Amino acid sequence: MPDFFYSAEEILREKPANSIGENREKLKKIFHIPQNMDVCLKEFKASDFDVMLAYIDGLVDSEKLSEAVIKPLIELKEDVSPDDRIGFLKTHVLYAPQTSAAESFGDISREMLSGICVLFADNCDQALFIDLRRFPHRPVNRTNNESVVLGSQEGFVENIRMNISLIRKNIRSADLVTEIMDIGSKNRTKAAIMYIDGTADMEIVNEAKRRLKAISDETLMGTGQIQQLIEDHPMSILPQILQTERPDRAAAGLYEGQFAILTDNSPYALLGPSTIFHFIHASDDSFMRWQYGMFVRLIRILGIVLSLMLPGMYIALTQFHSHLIPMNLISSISEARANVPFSILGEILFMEFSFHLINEAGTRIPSQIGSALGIVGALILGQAAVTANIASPILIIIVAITGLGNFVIPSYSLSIGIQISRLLILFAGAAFGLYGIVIALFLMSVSVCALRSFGAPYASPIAPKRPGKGNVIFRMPFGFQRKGAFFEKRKEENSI
Amino acid sequence: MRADDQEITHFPMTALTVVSVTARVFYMTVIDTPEVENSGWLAALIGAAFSFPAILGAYFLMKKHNGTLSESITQAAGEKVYRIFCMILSLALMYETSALISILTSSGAYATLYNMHKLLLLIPTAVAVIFACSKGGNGLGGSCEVWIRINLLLYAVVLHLEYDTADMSYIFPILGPGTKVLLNTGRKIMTYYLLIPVSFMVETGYAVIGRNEHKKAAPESILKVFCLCIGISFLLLLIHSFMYPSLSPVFKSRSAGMDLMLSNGRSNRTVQLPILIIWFSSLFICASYMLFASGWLMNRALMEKGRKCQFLLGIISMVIALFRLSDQSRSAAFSAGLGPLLSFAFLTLACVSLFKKKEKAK
Repeated sequence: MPDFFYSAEEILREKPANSIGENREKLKKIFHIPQNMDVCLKEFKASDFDVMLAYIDGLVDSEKLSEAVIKPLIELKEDVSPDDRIGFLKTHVLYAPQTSAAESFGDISREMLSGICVLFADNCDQALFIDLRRFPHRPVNRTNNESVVLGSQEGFVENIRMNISLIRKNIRSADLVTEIMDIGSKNRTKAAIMYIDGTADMEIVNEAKRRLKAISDETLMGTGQIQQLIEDHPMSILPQILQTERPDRAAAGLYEGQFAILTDNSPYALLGPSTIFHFIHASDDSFMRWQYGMFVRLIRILGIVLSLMLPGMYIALTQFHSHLIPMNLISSISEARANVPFSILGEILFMEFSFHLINEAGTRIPSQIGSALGIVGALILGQAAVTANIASPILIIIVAITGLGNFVIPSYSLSIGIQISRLLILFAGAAFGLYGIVIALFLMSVSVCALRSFGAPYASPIAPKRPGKGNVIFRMPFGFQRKGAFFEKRKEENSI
Repeated sequence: MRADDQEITHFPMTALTVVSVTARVFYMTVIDTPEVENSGWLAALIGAAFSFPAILGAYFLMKKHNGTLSESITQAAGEKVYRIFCMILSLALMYETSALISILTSSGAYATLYNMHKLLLLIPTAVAVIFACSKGGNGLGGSCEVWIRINLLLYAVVLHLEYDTADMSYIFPILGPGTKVLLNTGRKIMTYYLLIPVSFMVETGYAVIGRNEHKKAAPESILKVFCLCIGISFLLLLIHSFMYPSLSPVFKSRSAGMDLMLSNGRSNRTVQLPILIIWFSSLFICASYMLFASGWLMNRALMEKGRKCQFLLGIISMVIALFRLSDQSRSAAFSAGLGPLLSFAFLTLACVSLFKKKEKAK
């Protein structure tokens, strides 16, 4: 049948042909050659038969290709029977460390796009995958978003293999399992799910695998998208799967019975199931002495509470319950606000908006002019706003404490969730005073306690109360912490 | 992987029951029946004594049939009787929810939002109660467990701030208001202690960690929860030791009662903030739990699933509160009548179960 009757989709289902010429034509159709100029089809002679190498330029290590594949093939002098040509080349000729057989042109196309080199031989209906990948990538560097004082400074990179090896460096155990799969319907993104066999609950791991395989999005660009597609409550403000760029954090999570999901082109690992306390804990809480770790953690929790509650409480107390504020403070507040023409709510919203604007601009601004942002921020939020009577000095302090309290949250996702929650409490306090704040807090706590992360209650081990590790709120000394992983499958019945 | 929203396991149920019972007992003695004066703690004990036979009956049912209270009632009296019982309880709890929404609205209007129309407070309150219920029993119970810890801390602050003004002689003489008043109040309070067996009807047992299984709660746990409720009610009512007893026999309004509790003309202004937080949060937990239990029981009665019943009952209770059909006098009369009926029902079921056993023995 002439080629023009075959579509690329039909060719993908076929096996490799006997003839190199036929294989060449099929590859041209799949990869739109000659328009597509970075797909290389190199034909040459090995012994007395023709061979063809197919690969994508830039994804393959050219030096190793020449040394391990092309040179040995060209120098081959033996006669090789067509029956087992590929098998013979694989075991006796090629120097490449990882090779496997190809089943169909679908596999061939997918592997070539992943950087695999494919070898065809004349009069042989098999093809061979040769792994000589070499993607351009940045070296392992310090983390950008999860800085710690004590502890490892390494962070994940965009190469999945390197990320897997970074975790393996931290966990030297034969029970560490890495299952690799392709996910997504069109752009098949390589993903790996890692867990420690015997520690992780296999029901949870299997559920995670099922959700990954069920992803039908055509284009998956990273772990952020995957997180939203596999979590239990995508409409919730709070994240249910932890994203970390630290290999040591990922390793600690695996020891706790969590699984880790890594994907290509993403310098983050997803850890699940996760509780809200996982988002509040930082890596170096465990690296410090328990006294320092406990102190720092309590400061962090206090910062989070202030960040959440301070603007709402300020507006509720000043507008509705001024009789509860000591006389000195209330007169000081009144004096400070005497010339401000806006309502308290308007003032707070303006300052909150300015703060978020500067925060967001700081994230996006090019580094060359980044220093100018600090000056602008200080001018706008500080002196100018107060001098122009747009905001009172006490509000500047409140917004500053609120902002600092937000920045102590180790997880970026949770910090955004807290910012949104803060606005809800602010509006509840502005509308209904303390009554509104109590109701808003109660509704938030009910929502948090009702959340689940792959079946695990989000607020555990506090609600429902279950045996913790002595490391939830207070960072206890290691001798006082319970042994064993938190998420491991219970061997005995342990009821709550 | 998703938990059943309509189930509630043992520990969340216990937390919700303790908070609900003690909040209602406290409110009844301190605000709704000010005629007991500072002997509210004794009225609460009398109410507990009145409810004890019914609690014992429920315990006996669970012990004999070796199941949850719902299963035990079904085995003792049959499926039809159980469903009718669930329907009646559901409607009673729906009215209770309405009364609590009314209480919350009045408290909010009095303590914080003096100039706001009650309608503007009532609708958001009711919507918030319905929303909290929609998160399921375990979510509600988990949140309650967190709030218990916070409220204990706040109550410790209250006790610390009021310590200097405490005088145990304020809660004596114990028979000051008279035995008739005490017994009458005890009869009203009895209703709230009988929420304990109703809660045991709603629960599904202990959840086994990591498995989708439940373990039945031991029958003795109903007695433990009962003792816990009595103890905590007593502790809360110690607040009377900070308030000078009034000698006036005139029936006071809820506002006057609340004013007395909050300020008493001399209490530390700072103490009002933690009291208000404990107040609002406890009543809100109670209202949400009543609605949840009402929805659960109606589902059982009508053999339904999901949250439709809960939502409809929530709307109806909001409408009842809107038309002031669950105000102070009506809800107090309702409590006075419901308690003996509930007691009678549980004792009858226990007797039926005993009678059946004897018949089988013959």
